[in-house]
Amino acid sequence: MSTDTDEQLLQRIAGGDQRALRQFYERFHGVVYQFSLRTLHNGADAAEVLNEVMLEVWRRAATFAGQSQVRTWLLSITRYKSIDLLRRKRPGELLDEAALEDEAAGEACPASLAIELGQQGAQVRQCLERLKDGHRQVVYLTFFEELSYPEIAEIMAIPHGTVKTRMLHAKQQLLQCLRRLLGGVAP
Amino acid sequence: MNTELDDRALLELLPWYLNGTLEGAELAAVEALLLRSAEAREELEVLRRLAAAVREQEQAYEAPPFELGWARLQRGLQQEARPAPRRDWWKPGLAAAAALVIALQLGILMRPAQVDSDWQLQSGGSEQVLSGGYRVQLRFVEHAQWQQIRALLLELDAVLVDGPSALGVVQVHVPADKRFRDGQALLQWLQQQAVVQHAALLAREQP
Repeated sequence: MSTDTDEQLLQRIAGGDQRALRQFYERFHGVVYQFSLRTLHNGADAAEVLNEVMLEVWRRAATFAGQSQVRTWLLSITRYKSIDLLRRKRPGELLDEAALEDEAAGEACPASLAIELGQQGAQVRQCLERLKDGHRQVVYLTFFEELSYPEIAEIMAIPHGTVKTRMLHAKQQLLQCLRRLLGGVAP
Repeated sequence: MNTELDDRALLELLPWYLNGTLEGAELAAVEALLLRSAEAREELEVLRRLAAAVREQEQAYEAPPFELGWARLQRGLQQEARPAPRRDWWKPGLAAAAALVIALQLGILMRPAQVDSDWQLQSGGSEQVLSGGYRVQLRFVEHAQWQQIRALLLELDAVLVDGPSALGVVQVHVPADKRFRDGQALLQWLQQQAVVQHAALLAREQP
């Protein structure tokens, strides 16, 4: 495993170093695949996007200006490529996320509600999969990739406020979903 | 009222307090909120459990096997029309830099050659015996490897004088060599070399 920083790997890739690209691929292929999967819901498509993203890195490594983290830059490309694939293959699935922002999340869940979620894995996954893509991506990038909300805003090309709103709605929808599936746990 | 609005805005930051990415004034404000608000502390606990469950479930999605994905990417790289450095030779605007690079690689100094004013192009026609060496125009085959070109020029002890032009034509000075009785013999030898597409004898040169 390379000890080079992400930026150093990109510099080597910009110089045509395929070994550096392999190291970069090894480091980030999981991140790119998983994020793409949240948009495409299809492993084969996510793998195709992974390939396209890494080819794009090969072509554009020299354009990375260092104004954001490499991972943020990479996930921005991933989001763009994922949406592009949806446009090409499944245009009917593209939703206007902006039009959905005002949808009420339903009744608010009391903050005192505490669910033993560690024992309810299947239900959690089911509820995650019911989230709208934009909401799930925010949840994934926050809790799994542990990115800041400005970084998420940059990756998803949305305002900071929209990131927070989507997280708020996602949380409420997840908790409501879990309450229904678990038979209504008392607050 | 203003405090309530601020608290609502701060509550929205709890996910990023939880994942450790809040900084500065926002971090300080959320920490102060957690100290004074039981509601905020309960909300944080709910988020903590939710985050743990999300991480556990999201971890279940694995990327495709590394070697398969890398092999696929390598096939894509091979199909990429990535220009090789040697081809950059022939691009207009890079000729001067390319010539310097070649000269440095060959350890050859570029020096201006004094050309006899009475020169004529000789290529398969009547020859003019030149002393002190020859100015030769060369064009290499498209797939020529740099090592092959370099080997040819070193064998002749040639010096790059001009080019490559936009069409990939170079002019080299070739010192007089006992192997070649005259310019025509040199020309014939050059035209037999696999890397040479075209060769023309331009002039004799004064040392």
